[in-house]
Amino acid sequence: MWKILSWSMLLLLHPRNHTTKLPSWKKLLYLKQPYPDNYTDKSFLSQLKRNSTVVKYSYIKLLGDFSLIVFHLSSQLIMVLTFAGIYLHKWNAFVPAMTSSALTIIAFFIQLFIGHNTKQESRPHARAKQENANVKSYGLIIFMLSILSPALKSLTRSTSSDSIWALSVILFLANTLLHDYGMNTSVASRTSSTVIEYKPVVSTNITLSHSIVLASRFNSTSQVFSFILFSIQSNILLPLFDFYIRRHNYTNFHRFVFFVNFQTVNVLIYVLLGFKILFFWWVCAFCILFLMPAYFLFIQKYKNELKGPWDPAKLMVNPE
Amino acid sequence: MGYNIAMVTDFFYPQSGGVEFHVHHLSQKLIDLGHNVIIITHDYGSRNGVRTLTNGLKVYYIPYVAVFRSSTFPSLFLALPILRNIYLREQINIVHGHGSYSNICHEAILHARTMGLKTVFTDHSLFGFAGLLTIIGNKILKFTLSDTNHIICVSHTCKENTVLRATIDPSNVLVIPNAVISKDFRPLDKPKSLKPKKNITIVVISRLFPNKGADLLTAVIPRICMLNPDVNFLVAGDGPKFLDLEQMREKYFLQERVTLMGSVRHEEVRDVMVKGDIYLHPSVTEAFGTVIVEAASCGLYVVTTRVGGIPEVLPGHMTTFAEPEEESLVEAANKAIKLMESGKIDTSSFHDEVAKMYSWEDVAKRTENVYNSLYSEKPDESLITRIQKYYCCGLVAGKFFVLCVIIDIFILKILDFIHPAANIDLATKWPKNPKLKKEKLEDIQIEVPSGREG
Repeated sequence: MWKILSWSMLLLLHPRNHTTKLPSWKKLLYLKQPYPDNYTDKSFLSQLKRNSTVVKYSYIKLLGDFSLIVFHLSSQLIMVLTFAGIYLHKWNAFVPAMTSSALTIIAFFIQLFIGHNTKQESRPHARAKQENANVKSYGLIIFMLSILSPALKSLTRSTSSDSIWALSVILFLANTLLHDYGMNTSVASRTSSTVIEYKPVVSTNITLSHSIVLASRFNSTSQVFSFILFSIQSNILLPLFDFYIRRHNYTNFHRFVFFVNFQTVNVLIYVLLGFKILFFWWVCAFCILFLMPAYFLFIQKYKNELKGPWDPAKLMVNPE
Repeated sequence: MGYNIAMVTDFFYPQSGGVEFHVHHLSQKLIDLGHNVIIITHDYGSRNGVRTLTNGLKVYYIPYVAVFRSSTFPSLFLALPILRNIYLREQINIVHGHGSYSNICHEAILHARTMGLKTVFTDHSLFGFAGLLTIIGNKILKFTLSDTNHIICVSHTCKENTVLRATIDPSNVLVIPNAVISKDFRPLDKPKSLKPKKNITIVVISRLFPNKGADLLTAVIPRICMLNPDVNFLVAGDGPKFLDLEQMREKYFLQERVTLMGSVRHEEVRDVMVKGDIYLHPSVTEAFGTVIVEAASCGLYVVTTRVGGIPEVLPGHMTTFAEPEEESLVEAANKAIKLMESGKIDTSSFHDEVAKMYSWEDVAKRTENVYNSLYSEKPDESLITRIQKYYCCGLVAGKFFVLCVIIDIFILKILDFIHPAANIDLATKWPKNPKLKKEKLEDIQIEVPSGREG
């Protein structure tokens, strides 16, 4: 303590001499240095790195990412609005189911076509097997659905409709929030040894329960079957298909799918709810599509990422 | 008459680790310097109540629920009654908390400030800034440290980290390293010869957790064994990655050359270390790394990753540094093995050198200086200044913190009313060691604060 005090006295009395008297401070613990314990050197925090891993975002790229939210909202709205049409306006439930089935079959062939066109993933045998499995499981689901439809019809008989509408709203919001929007289709992750798996498990489950809850309001088994089939195709298979075409860089085709989807919602809203609600939906879509990316870019400047020697080192271990 | 100091931490014996030893040894040396020290920790199952250790070091194991790796449940006020009772009973002047993830330490510091006691906090570990858990942890740290009188860190890197995490004035943060008990870590008595030697043994003593670099260890052992057919490994320690090591041993047929000892008690660490020539430390993050100092003290050459505060700890002639990468660590280990085999390194002087660098006496004296400065520097602040400090902690958090402090004061008032300080018996102090130097004790003259209000 006295040593430190005398050093600091020296410092005070001979300010010019202090460079020659005091050895320069080193960031070492094993040396006994003539500095107080709370000494803070000029080099303090010199190893601090700020915002070292920050990515520059482009507005156009963000626009594409945010459009996926609108896409997902549109898919869900199509399901809910179709339900409203069948339930309130006595639409024929077969029409949407048949349309979506036809589109699904077309989409399946497009997927086959894309798969054959890409040479990189040249494992034709495995791919054919996978497609076979897909077709099989799809057939199985339809079969199960047709068996279960009578049971699903009477599932919520004892529940009042108001509770079902409330539940539907909750499921809609949960689906929107918890959906895996699958934005990462980048080349880097594609070329890695494992093919990226896109499995929006949570939202698939929510979608299925949502469609079952809604379908249980219907009076005939065929309506239940058609509606659930339509929901699966428009809300579970469509996002998977869309992810597939985005991954294979068919950007224009993705835009076309997005546009058709969006346009279908517009038509449905206009027919069922009128122009006012349609306008409201447009405003919502505009905000999500154009204003939110701009806001996202705006708040980037508040980013303050701190890195330094205290961070756990990223281990570089060679793969076996 | 020295200070009455309460060390508060969640981490204490029967658990073992860096914080635990720091608290114990520091307390012992402070008792030698003429202070009264008690330790407050949460109960460890059957180990509860009040225990007395060597030199009359009293440990209060207070009933508390440990939730995660022996950190207690984060309640704000639950411990106030019992802590107040202990503070009054032991006439505590200074509360010294240890470990930023020790919840009981945060509580103890908050209540101590409410009761008008002086507080010191020692940070032993490094934390990043990403992730929900660390964000919450850092906010709690900020809450505690914004009104702690002095903060001690165990290395300069730790200081940088703490200053950033808690946004505090760096001049208020001191660096006092850990130490080792030199006589417990002495090399074998037979003088190590300088002539070239074969059959190098590499020792690793580490809890086998991912953050201790167990994956890196599993990756480098077979490669080092392949490159150097005369090298053997001795791995002590247990943990979730123990199985990986066993599998690695089987896969590369290294049963003869890699010994896995499982966990060893701290008393046995020295006996394990002296069997080897090189100590390998593959850690991923480390605030200080006491174990490499222990290894050097046992006369081992140290090969370590350059992470956290490790580069500050040992001088260049005792260590080889590597980046935390497989290639770099293998290379550094090979270099060290070549050096040892050619007999270019004289490790016999390491023990005495380390003894001069790190001793608990030195740590205790420097800590005592911190305590002295608590009383010499500035008078205690008024309540309104304290509340201002808390208020500046954040937009929402600031208001929440102020609310917590005020509620704490209210609870304290109620406790003062239903259980007045006059009704609390004072604990008898352990008799002083007569061998202590008299003049040392006379130096320390303090006035014990009488007010117990916020």
